[in-house]
Amino acid sequence: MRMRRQDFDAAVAAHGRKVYTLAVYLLAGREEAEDVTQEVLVRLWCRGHEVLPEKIGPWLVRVTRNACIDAIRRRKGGSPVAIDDDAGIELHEPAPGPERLAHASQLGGQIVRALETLSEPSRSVVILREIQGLSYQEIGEALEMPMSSVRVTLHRGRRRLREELKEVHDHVAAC
Amino acid sequence: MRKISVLIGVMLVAVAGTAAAQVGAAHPGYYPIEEMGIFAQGDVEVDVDLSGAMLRVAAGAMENQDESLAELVANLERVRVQVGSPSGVDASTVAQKMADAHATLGSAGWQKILSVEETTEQVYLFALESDGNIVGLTAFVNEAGEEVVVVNIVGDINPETLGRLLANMKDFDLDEIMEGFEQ
Amino acid sequence: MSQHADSGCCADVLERLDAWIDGDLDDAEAAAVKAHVGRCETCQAEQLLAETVVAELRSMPEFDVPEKILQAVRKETRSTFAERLRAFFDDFVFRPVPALAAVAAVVLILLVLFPWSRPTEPQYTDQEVARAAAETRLALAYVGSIAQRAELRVRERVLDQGAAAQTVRGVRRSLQVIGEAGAAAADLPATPRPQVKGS
Repeated sequence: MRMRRQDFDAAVAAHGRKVYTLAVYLLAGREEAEDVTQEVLVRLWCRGHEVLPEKIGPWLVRVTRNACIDAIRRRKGGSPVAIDDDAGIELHEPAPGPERLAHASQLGGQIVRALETLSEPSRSVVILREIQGLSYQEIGEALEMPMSSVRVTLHRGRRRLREELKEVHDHVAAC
Repeated sequence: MRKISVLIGVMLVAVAGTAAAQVGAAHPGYYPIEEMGIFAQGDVEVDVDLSGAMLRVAAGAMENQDESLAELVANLERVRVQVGSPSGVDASTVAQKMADAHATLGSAGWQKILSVEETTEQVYLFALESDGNIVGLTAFVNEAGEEVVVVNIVGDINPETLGRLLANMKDFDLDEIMEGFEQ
Repeated sequence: MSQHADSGCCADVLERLDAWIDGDLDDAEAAAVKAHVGRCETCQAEQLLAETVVAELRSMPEFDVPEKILQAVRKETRSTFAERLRAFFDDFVFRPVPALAAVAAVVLILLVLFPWSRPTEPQYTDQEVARAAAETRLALAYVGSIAQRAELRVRERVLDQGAAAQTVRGVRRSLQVIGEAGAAAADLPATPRPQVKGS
């Protein structure tokens, strides 16, 4: 059994942009993000009928994030990654090749690189909240975290970004 | 309840069709798709078998919608469709059985209209011609051995009428036909 | 203004800086943080950086799914024939056809009034007729869909290989050729070639 075609098309229209955007920033590049997006949307086609319509958005975020984590693990050659409940999943493999995200400002470009240094779930939470504008509740539902944890994770992620960016920012401010 | 009435409907049609089944068997355009040995007991999920009188009545029901289509259907002798997921044979065996059917049809004078032979999919469409008309259409689809469709249509089919109808794919858009019945 | 006014408080303030920027602190806490930041250059710099980073993040764009990915998804999610048939039989609902009902009424009247006009063809219910019509259309739709799919695949392969498009023989042309060859062999009058679009 599958989703009805019209329901699938509507879900892609409503959520496709969010799926692709999340993948682009999580993977810091478009090429892998395209593969992940295609994989996620096909999975939506196959399994979407099992999800309540109002839960499709959070479900897609979860599936996209998991697919991106898998993609990053594949960069590492499939080696297992330790998961620390406090520190989250360490994912430091940079995106391969020159297919990196360009951004207009110098700081913006640095932010994309700095995002890659964040562990999960901080990376996802920062992207979902600050770039994609999801509420704490929506993020909590998607990542199956309490809202208080979302808040703490977000703040931790932003602090970590500041540490990475401090040098660049101080240099720019001094000029 | 709906599925029970559908099942009863299919059984009634099958009974009506079975009585006239022999009408198509001797026809040169007939191809015994059930003897290809692809499906085991219980594999066939959809089994359509329409013959003679039932087809003419169906044609009558179509007249208001499309005269050309109704005329084409009125000249059909038998329509057979089997769809299923073969359980007893693997994908390569299904592909081999289709290749065997391909050879059989070819040696019996059927012309291959189209074929697609890819690793994960084989599609064939054959037609048998007689005195300027198509007297049989046989089609096979093998999707990696997981979904198999076999079709045999027997009758007196004007190729230009069929070609014109196929050219206007709107009449034969599977999704549209499904949606039409869902409304 | 001191550089590190309450250095012991700086760590505490920096810990709550993001919550303060997001408006997540209660009034008392927010006032305390604000007061400290107002007199501490280090924390002020940190606040500026924090707000700059947040502003930069919030200005970063979202991206539409590339069309090639949507096309690949459409291709990959094309229903199999069996799935369509299964869905069809799962969802089939008989809709009474008024015209058929009228015809049936006329036939019934004729049968009652004129028993010798009883047709020799078997009698079918409206539901059986509708179902037969649906199944016939479906069978022909399969043929059409198979032809279209095969035609498209052959075209794609030919175009990929850079071969001439004339080598692709569509179903329509093949059927025309069959018809013309057969008519010629049977010495039948040639029928006018239909105006086929897009051939």
